[in-house]
Amino acid sequence: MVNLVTSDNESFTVEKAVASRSVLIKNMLEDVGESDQPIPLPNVTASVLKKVLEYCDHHKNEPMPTSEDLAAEDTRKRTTDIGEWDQKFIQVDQEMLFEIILAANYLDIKPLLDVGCKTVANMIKGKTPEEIRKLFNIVNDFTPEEEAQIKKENEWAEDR
Amino acid sequence: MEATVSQVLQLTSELAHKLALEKHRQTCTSSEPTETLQSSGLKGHEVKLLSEIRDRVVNALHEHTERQISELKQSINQLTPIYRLPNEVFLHLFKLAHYLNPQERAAWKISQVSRAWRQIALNTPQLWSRIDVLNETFVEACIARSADVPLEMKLEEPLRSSQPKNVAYHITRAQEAAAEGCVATLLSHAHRWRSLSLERVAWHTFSPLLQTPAPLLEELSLSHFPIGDLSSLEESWPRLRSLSLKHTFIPLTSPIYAGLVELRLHSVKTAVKPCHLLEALKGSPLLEVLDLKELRIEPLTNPHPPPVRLSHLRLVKIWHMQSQHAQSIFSSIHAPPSLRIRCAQRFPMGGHLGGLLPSSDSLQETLPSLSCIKEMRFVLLEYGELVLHGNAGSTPLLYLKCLLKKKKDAAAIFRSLGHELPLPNLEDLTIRGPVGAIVGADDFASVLGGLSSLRCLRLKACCPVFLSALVVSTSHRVCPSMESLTIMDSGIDEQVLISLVASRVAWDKSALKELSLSRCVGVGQATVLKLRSMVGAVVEI
Repeated sequence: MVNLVTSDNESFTVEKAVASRSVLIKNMLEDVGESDQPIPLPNVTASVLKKVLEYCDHHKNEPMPTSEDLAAEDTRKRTTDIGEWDQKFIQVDQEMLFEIILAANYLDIKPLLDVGCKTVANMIKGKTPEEIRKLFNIVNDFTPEEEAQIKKENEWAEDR
Repeated sequence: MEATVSQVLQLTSELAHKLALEKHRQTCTSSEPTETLQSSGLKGHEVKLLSEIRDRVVNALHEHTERQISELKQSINQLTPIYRLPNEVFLHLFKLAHYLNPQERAAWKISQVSRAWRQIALNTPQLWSRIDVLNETFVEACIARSADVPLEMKLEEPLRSSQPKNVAYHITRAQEAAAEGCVATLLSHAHRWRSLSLERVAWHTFSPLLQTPAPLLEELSLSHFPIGDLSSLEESWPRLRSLSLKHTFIPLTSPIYAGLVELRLHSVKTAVKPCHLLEALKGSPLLEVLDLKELRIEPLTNPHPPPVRLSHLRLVKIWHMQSQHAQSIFSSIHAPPSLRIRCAQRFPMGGHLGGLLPSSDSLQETLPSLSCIKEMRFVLLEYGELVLHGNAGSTPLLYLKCLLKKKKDAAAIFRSLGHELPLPNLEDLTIRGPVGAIVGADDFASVLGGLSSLRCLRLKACCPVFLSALVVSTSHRVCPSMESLTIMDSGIDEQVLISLVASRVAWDKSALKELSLSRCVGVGQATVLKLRSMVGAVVEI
């Protein structure tokens, strides 16, 4: 078993197979060897780690992605649909969604990072820039000059 | 603000300098200046210069204010939850958005959301690598922003998307000129092409794209594009792995078919010789996807051609071809057990699966994945369409849509189950639709007789006559391993159901373990209680 301690000082004891879905933790365990020492995770809160561990537990028996799968150039090939369980798992509010993505990035859990990012990508799908701003509470921060330039470079879209 | 103050000071100094110069010029050029003229002329200049300076100051202040507002808004954005994501995550997210929905042109959209998003988008060449608009500004922007990333081009005639496919369309001279400009720009970057797709475009404008070497080209897709001789080009596309031809054809003897991983031939008017097709397949031993639609094949001259081993084949799609043509393809290949088959066929009256699939003796060699099917759904729709789904766990191994003239033609296909289509590992069978109206209890029993490994049977909206076929006796023992029976949306004869359960319990108490009834007319609570006393679990949904 592995003991993980979150930024808000909560401890989670989990199976090694579950914790090792995180490449960060897996490497730490390999470096340290067998040890009872808790692993501090200063960038993850308890509520987020709980969700992340739920994901890791569900996928603990699946093969780890190979380095070939994870090559940056292969993003094109990593565009399969989100699985049914993952879709339900990631149905959280926006704040939690981004926290999960951040945690997946920090803990180096690429499949979870993909699930989170694909979810955001699907949220963007079919929306105009203005609708995207509204969705994520983003303010239009372009100056009028920049806006004019952007409008000009997108004139091709008006002909379609 | 400091920059603006210094700008104002500079402008004031410019003004003083201009006024001094003006005064000096007037002193030198006018020998007898009159006080009135001199004063009024100088005032006019002063007013003009002051006005000019005022406009410049106002503009500078305006620009400064706009920049400050923009910076303030940027700071506000930093507080939103999504801005907590680091740039590398945004980069990954944007790439996924780009590849998941290529037709959305994510880069163009993302770059209009905010300054930060625009910065990331402009610095990510992969996002700009797809060229699918015939507009010179668009093409040039994509070429420049995608840096040296391989290009993916999907080109179709302007306005094509808004017009019905069967209607002739005309493009203006300006559009044609724009297309020619785009082609010229693309030709100068042929060394970067990764994929090229041409759909319903004019030969004279776009054919130069097929006459130039493209060393990185991996995918070529041509649709409604009349094509000449490409035999000289196979060496120009050494990396070509995927070829898709729709309403377009290149003779199968062309070397372009060698070394492919994906081959799609749709709506080919010319009937192809089976030997040519097999030779083309032989030339691509690493083929993974074979997708044929509305392809006509001449009759086999050799009824037993040597098989083509395609050990990497993972998907065969055969759509709307004559059954015997599909059969000759299925019979000529040796595929691996992981092969997925997707097929939509029009069946002749009385046609069965034996007219589509290779003989059951050779199936293990030709299409071994069919014998791996563990779950099957046989769905007969009210209007006479029949769909067969065969899976092994979560892997869909067979999807067969049978287009029938009459609903009753489904009977022969149903009778093929377990016979022309042997299913030695089938554990789970669902039969849905009015199959009972076309198949009698004897035929049903005969099919079940060929499915001895069946453990779970689901009957949805089926004729209750099937239940009598499941009653076992010393001389009639179908489905010896059946543990679970589900009946849904059916009218049931209580006595037959009780006989069925009683016979199976008496035969082997460990056999039928679960009976589920859902929306079944004719089953009362007393019967349910009685069934419960016989079977471990009776679920009433």
